[in-house]
Amino acid sequence: MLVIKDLMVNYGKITALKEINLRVYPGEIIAIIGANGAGKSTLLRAISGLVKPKAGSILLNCKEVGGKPAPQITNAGIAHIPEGRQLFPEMTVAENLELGGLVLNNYKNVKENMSEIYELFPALKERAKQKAKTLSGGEQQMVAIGRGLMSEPDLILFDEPSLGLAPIVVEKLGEVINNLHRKGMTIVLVEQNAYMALQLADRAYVLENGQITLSGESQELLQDGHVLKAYLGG
Amino acid sequence: MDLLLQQLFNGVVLGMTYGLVASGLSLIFGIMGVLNFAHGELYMIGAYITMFLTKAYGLSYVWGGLIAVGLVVIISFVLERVAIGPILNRDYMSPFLSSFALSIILANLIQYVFGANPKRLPSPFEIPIEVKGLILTQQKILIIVCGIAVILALNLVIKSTKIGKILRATSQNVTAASLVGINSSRTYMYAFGIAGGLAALSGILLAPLINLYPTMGSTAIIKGFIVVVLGGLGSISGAVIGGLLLGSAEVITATFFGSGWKDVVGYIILIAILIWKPTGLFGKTSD
Ligand SMILES: Nc1ncnc2c1ncn2[C@@H]1O[C@H](COP(=O)(O)OP(=O)(O)OP(=O)(O)O)[C@@H](O)[C@H]1O
Ligand SMILES: [Mg+2]
Repeated sequence: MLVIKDLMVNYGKITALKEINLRVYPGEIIAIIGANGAGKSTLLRAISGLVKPKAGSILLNCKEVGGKPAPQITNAGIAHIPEGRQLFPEMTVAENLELGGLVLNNYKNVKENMSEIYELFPALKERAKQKAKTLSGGEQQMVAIGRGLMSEPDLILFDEPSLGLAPIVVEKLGEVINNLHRKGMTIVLVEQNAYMALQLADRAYVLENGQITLSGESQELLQDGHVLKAYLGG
Repeated sequence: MDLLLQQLFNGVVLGMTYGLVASGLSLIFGIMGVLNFAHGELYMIGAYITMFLTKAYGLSYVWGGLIAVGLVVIISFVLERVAIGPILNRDYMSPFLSSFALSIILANLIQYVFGANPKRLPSPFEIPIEVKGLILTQQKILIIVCGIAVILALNLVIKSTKIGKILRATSQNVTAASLVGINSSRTYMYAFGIAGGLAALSGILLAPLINLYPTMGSTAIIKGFIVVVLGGLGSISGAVIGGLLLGSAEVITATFFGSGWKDVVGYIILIAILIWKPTGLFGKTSD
């Protein structure tokens, strides 16, 4: 579904990613783990068109999307739920969700998807008319996820969705991701919480200093000595 | 007392046109973070195009005005595409300087085509009406009615329509906007078009009460800046209320101190607001 070949991304003179090769098959959950500054968010930004790659290619269903602007990528069926939520702070929860469905042609689908999201996160339904900036961190994270789901994506890129959430909410989030997986959604999950990510994912890649240093089945990585030591605190 | 009432009415009329100019200025600032110095020229060009259409093609004031608004919207699209959009993300100064250059180019262009002499744009609505000793004209009532209607419509568009939500989303978070599929450069073009249309409308409405001259845009833009500072940057309702306040303040000053002081009061208000209430009277808490 997604094939990345020799991807390189620079910020000015700084090289943030190089020689990235990665594949995501339909229906998979892929985890990307790595330390702060490893380049995880940059990888997602390159996929969703928020940064332009310096070199390499990104193929979505065999079509080159590398370097295309973000709105076009969203239209092509990728939803990026960015680090730090990035909501529209002065707009209501309902408006935030509605904007997530902007790429849909049919307004009826927008309404239907919205009620699905409210079913998924009942807390949001109560706050539908509240400005996004007045919500708690966890609730804002739900809005961000809901907004991403509104566009009926084929592939979802999650950037640290568990950041700042209470353990019980993280658990709920795991369930949500698992449910999406069961519905056949393809997911790329970037997490600081490596244990959670590896539990959820089929396969994983380890990013260090902008390069992929390790990849494999999640279950294997959970037992890998280096991963244990560097990311699982073992 | 009657004189004061009469002057206040005139001030409201004048203020309404200031408000229309300033609301476009405020809209562009709110969404793009750009102070568009060429905004006054769009106001001026609206009036000149209407005058040209009525003189050269014998169109009525109303039809000429409507077509002129449409043309100015298109001109605004082009100006944004050519001179603002491409340098928008560079730094704070570039778009401002570019719009400053545009303003001079446009004023000179109009002077080249129509000459520097003042021109008149007559309106069929200049018939005086007397209400309880107050002398109104249909044109002045038209300005107030149009002003209120347009501002209400603009608020409704921004609050409830798809394009309004797109405009607000872009102004609040460009990154998120692009992730939900909004093409921000197209949004900026729309914002410029709407603002240009408002400026043109204001010029066309006010023109029959004043003389047209190619530098009238720079006079208007200074008033626009004062109003925007007064009302609060980025707030449309603030722009209208600020416009009404400035218009009233000007005519009252002219009544009591002579018309030589009329333009001074605006600058005094400007400095006072910057010192004591830099967010403007209605700054940035508006929806
Ligand atoms: N806009 C930018 N300009 C310059 N350098 C940047 C920019 N964004 C990121 N970088 C640099 O690129 C590198 C990778 O950053 P990135 O945000 O992708 O890391 P990350 O793996 O997501 O880290 P974290 O876990 O802290 O979110 C870092 O060294 C960072 O300083
Ligand atoms: Mg990151």
